[in-house]
Amino acid sequence: MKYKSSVWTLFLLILAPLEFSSARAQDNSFFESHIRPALIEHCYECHSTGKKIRGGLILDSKAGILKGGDSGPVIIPGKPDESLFMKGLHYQGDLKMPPKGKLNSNTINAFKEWIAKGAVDPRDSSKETANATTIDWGKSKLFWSFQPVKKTPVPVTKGSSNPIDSFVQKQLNLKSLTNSGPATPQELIRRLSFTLTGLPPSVEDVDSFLKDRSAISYEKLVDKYLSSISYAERWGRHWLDVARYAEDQAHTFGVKPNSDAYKYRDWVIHSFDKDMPFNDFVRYQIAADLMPEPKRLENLAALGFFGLGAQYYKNTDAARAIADELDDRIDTLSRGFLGLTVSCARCHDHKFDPIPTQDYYSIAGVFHSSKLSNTPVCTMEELKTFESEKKKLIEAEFNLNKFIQTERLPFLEKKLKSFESNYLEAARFLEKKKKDEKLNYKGFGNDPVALERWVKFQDKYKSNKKFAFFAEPISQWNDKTTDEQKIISINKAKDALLKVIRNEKDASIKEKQNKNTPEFYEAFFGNAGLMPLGDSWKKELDTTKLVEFKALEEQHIALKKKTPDALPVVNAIAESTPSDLKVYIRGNPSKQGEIAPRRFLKIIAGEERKTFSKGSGRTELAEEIVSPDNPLTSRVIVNRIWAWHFGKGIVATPSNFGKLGEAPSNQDLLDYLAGNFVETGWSIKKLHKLIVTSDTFKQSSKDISKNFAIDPENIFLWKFNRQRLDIESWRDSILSISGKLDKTIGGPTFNLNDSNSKRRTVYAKISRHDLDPLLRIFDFPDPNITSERRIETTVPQQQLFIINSSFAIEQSKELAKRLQDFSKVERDNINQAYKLIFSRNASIQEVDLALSFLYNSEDNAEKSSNKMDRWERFAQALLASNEFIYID
Amino acid sequence: MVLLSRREMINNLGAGTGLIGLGGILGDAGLLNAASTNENPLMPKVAHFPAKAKYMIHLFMNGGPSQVDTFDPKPSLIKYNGQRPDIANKSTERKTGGLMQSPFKFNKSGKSGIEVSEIFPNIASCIDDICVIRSMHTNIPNHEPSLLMMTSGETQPTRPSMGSWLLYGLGTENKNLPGFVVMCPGKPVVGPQLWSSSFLPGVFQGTHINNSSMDPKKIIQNVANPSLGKNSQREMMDYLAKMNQLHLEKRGNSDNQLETRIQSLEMAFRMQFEAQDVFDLNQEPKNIREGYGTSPFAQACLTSRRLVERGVRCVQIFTGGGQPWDNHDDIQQHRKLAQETDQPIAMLLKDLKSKGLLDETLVLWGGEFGRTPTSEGAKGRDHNNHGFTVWLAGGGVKGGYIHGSSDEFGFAAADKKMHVHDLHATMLHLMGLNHEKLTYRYSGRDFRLTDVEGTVHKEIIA
Repeated sequence: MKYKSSVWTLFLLILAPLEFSSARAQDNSFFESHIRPALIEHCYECHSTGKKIRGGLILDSKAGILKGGDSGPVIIPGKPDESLFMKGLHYQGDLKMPPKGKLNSNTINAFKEWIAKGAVDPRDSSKETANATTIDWGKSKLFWSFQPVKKTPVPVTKGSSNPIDSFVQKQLNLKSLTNSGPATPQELIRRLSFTLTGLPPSVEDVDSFLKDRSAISYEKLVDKYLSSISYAERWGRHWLDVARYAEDQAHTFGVKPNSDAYKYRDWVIHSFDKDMPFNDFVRYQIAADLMPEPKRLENLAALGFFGLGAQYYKNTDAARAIADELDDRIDTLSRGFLGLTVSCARCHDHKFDPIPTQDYYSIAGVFHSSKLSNTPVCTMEELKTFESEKKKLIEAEFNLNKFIQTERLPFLEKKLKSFESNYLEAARFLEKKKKDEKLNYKGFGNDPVALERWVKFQDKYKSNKKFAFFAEPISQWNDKTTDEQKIISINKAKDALLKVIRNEKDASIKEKQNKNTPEFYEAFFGNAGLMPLGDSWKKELDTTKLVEFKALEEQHIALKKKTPDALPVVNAIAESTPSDLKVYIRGNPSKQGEIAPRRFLKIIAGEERKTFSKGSGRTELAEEIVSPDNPLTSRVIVNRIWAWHFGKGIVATPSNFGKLGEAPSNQDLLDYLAGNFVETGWSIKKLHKLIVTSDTFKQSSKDISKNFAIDPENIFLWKFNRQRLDIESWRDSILSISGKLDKTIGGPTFNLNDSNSKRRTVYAKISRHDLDPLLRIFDFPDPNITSERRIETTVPQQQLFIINSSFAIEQSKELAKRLQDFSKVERDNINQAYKLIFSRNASIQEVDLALSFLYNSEDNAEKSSNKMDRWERFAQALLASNEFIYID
Repeated sequence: MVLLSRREMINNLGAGTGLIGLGGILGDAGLLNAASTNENPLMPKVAHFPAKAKYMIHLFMNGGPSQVDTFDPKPSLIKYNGQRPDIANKSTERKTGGLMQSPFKFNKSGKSGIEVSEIFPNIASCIDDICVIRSMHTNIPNHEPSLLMMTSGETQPTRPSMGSWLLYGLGTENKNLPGFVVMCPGKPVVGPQLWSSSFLPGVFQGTHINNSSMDPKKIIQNVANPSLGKNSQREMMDYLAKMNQLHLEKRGNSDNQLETRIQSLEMAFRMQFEAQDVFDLNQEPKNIREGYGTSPFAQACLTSRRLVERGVRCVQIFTGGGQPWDNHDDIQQHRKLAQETDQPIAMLLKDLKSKGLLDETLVLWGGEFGRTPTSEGAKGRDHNNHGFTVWLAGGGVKGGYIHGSSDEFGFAAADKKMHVHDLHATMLHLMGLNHEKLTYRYSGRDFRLTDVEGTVHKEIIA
């Protein structure tokens, strides 16, 4: 993942043949007494097989020391002066070894003598050297996730006809576990509504489901939720975690926010809404721009998957920053779609999975052959038309401006002569007298408006270096300045001003003013300038000129009307010059090794895989990923969907299906789901339906101690996992319950700290630079990197939000209003609160508890200063409760 | 109280040596005890080995103070003023000219006689408690990558900050206060990523406090209730607790996450008052407040002592928003910045010492890089990654000691070179953590603060 530039690689040296002329025994003892101890003490820490291997150099074996570092040998036996090793010891040039401090001269001389005598090394030379890592492809292929998706027949079990239940039941039987039985209808509809839509079920839906609890009625609910936009808003957000979606960059300098980022978010939501087949979903995010119309146009925004990716700081060491950006693309692509940590192979072959460094750079080459692009959302013809019209408009603008400039100049000069000295002098006058004196200076006595403008002008430009030249002469005035001196400096400033306006060259003006003429004209004569001239110059035109001007102006106006300023764009990627990368040795872009042809991973596509030949190769890359033969893609996505329903995946590490990931808890089930998913057209909604209609999903979340003793972590799904609402669902549900949720779909983002905004959280601004504190406190993943799941924490700051934030207080008040409007009977209002928030009726005990709270007497000292009435506090307590945030 | 499932912890524990190391710690703290599946990952943990330093205060001189004008005097700059000998011909962010002597005088200070620039008279008086490291270096002469390197050991915004690693490794001692507090009036360049927990759980994130105004009610988000008095809120919390208790009982009292949140609500209630209390500087005696001064930086220094005193693990104070020490135009501006920070920093060291806290508090002073001994424009200095100076105090480091040196002109680190990774490794060591064993499994790799680098410089340890 990280490279460290090797310092042993400045020169490529040629290894000279070894020659041992001196007495071997004597040399061996020299090595043992002088060389080996010095190597151990000063070098092994960073250059030995047991510890670190910096710069690819191993010094604890004969083979290593002879082989040298990443780009060549470090010693030439017999020639110490030409050996890089000695240069390092002598601290010559940039290479200084050991880095902690130069060795004493005795030791350095010993090394010199040793090399001079042929560098005799009695150590065993059979040890392997640094770069010789090998992947056993045959064995690697046997790892479960690289095996083809298996078609295990659905086991025959009692009860449910849903294959999920059969696979789960089979395992429960094996482990002597029992299913915990069905959840109550209230629990079930609540669970279903939250998991599919991120919102609580409506009171009406709960009531009618309680009346008709049949499987058909349940299925109708499932269909209703799946076809609601709320479903897509919730599930789109899940995917945005993987896509590390954000609208800006983490750092401060030189980055513009991607103001069109929301179009990617909306595309994702739209895709979930219409149940876009997942293979297309993948294709578009990698290569929508290379698809035929109308697919291209409809899905351009999908490219935000990469187009909104990291952009790093490139002021110094740009090569490294560019390599880091490529790494962001590879990491998000490979963990996101394939569940493989390909990024681990950036500096060396993957230590655990069969991914050689060359494969990393094969994929990197694809993205190196692509570039970030703000792509217009239009057809190619529309783009052509726009561009040609834009060109015409620019021409018309140019002609018009040229005319104005030419004709206006003489007028300006004439005008100026009568103005400038007055303005300058007045400025000085103002500065001195400040505001308490009346503005009756003779030159301006009749024109206070002009005077005011002048003051503003001064303020605006006083720190602008380009205007300093003419402020300088008068800024040096003091109380002792004589009138004569004042006149001289006024004239100096006036001359400078005139020269600039007339576009004359003058060495006395420090800055190169000639380049700035338009800026000066605007500053002085523009509408917001010192002497706004408006259209008055036109009066000086003769009839012919006037006709000419009108024609130019009309042409410009007509074109301007016709041509929009800019076409709407999406933050995407586009094709760049296709080329292969070479392997960056140890991840160092300045040290390149063998070529890495653009192609897919060997472990998936096989030894004989084709190299990519169509442009960057993104289309081919996408096809490799969604190929039905690819054993990872379908498994990875069905596991993600599963995890988002159950709180935990069948593979507990959804973005790592490699050796260091978790093994599947039920591979037959995973494979069944993956196989079925592909067979049913990669439909995510069908998968949801299969899952949520299973008894496994519908079972109770209550504990059974016998099961707990065997499987405390519920790996085998003997119960449903009780889950906490994520921040989006919680905030949205509070708004929904208070009746204030704004259901506007899509479009630009809103700020979460804007208390007027009551839209669903998925539409909030997501910033890498400054993630909203509410999101941050509630375990929202860092959008700088792809996220496989949310790590749930419980901290007091979260509770401070619900007990103290203005959002929580405001919504509690709204809810209290809604409850009190419900009926005149207090008990009914309390019950209605329970129905709205918990989807159930309140027990008598609960109603009594609520009543005693509502009628408790106020604290005497605080009664007059409290700003929430008891109903509002009651509402807040319910919204803060565990029952609301934890879904059974 | 924080919840992190046992499985979560196991999933994320490092493998290999890391697993043994941290696994041991967590085991000791009972985190891996199968009987309790939810434990507080912020609970204090036993370090890898006994250490003097328990807390850390990082005085971040953001923008990059110049070494040759502060703690690394170079008489050769006077001799070669205006010249650009080969050794001073190094590239940095911008073009620089000839060598430029420091406009400041250096004075031998303390018993150790270490030379300190005249712009820091008060810090000079503490020099015998300070270990000056003159051989620092980092990778890139730009603010953002180097700020990230200093705070997270990586130039891109993709890694957890040092404070987050400390919380992850050691937990914190006060459960009613955030364990990692960052104070900056406004925001430094880069911003919140500098105290991010990145892929570590969010609970290890730094809490940013905008100390431009120290209103205890506003300093932590939502720390005060705007609508109810304490007793009335307590009454509401009691009602809430009753409902939660009923809910828990109905679920057989068997779900730790429910109970954890109940406790967390109680903790939030208490935190309202304790957190307001710690930021209420009026509780300090007048002579102490005056000793620090009244600027936001001074108040942050005083607050840092109050936080550490209460067991907060890590405090980071930025000189100011943006990058105050970035004096490209005129190095004389260092005088003003020193004036603003000298007294509070010296007072902090003395105050910690008098309270017996300096021994267990590791104080780091320094920027993200240094500045060139060559001039930029007529009077300024450019960024310099080749060499710079930081200092450490307290927490078991040798006082009145100089570690390493830079070249003749103070351009590049020369003897006992210390990369930022080495500084991190050494600081973790002082806190009782082996930087190679403090690992976190993420994305198929065991990550650590020092990446694959870092050497502990034991010479600086007392």
